[in-house]
Amino acid sequence: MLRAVVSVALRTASVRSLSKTVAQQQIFTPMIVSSSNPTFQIRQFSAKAPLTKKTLEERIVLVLSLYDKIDAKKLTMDSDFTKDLGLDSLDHVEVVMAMEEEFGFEIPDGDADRFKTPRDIFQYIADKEDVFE
Amino acid sequence: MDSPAWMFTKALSHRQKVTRLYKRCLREVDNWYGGNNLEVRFQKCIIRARFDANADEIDTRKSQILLADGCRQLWEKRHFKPFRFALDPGGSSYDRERESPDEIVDSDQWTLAEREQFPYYFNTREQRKKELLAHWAKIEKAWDEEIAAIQTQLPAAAPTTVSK
Repeated sequence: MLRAVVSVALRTASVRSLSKTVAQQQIFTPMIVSSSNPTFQIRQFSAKAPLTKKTLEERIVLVLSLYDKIDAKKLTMDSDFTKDLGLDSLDHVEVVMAMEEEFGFEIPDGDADRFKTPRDIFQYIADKEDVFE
Repeated sequence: MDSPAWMFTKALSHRQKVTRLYKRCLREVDNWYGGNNLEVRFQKCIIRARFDANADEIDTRKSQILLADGCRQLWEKRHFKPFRFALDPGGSSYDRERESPDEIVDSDQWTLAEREQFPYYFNTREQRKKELLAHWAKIEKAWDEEIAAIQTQLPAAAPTTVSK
């Protein structure tokens, strides 16, 4: 409700010269694949970037440590989501969705229920994406 | 062994139903507000707050009604073109990646010079072949042992009825 009021107020107060809408102003920026080294890769949505066990683990740890309810200092590959990191079931859903968006494929709910540690996610994605080196 | 995850042979618990509903809600937000990151974040926070408000509901009957109402709201606000990941089934690039058959890579047309040029590739390939054969040998041995056990031994955990 407050947002609607504010947006109406802004609209009335806006100058006519700012005729560009918000949608027009948005620029499409390429998604940057996260990696430890600062070489920027652009995800082209044609084929996924090749994964190794090392990069897979790094990306999982990076995504998890960027989640605000996880303490990055306590995070290891074998720390339990509920016991060690103190996440509840809804946080767990958010973590799984972050993983889906990072690796670009959907994880079914039945499989996501079995994720207890980051190691489980690692193993699952390695199985799905054929990572064995 | 447990049944695979896609084969729903067990009833879902209430917690599982709620987490599934939550995930669908967040995806619905992505569908409607996707591209506008600030709005997506704002709407997701609202959804989270609405779930958290009834997180400690003790009355099961009320929580079931809340769950059903959430499902109804999700259904009413469903998107006409829901989001799919590009390479998933239903996505725009599904099945676009073609994998060349393995026999091409394993052809015996490679010359010795080529084999010396890429030693890591050819050595790991031989190694993987050996591992695969060893794995199959293990599986076949297990099958043979199982069949031999059926021939000779009685089933261990057979239900026995004692008649007097």
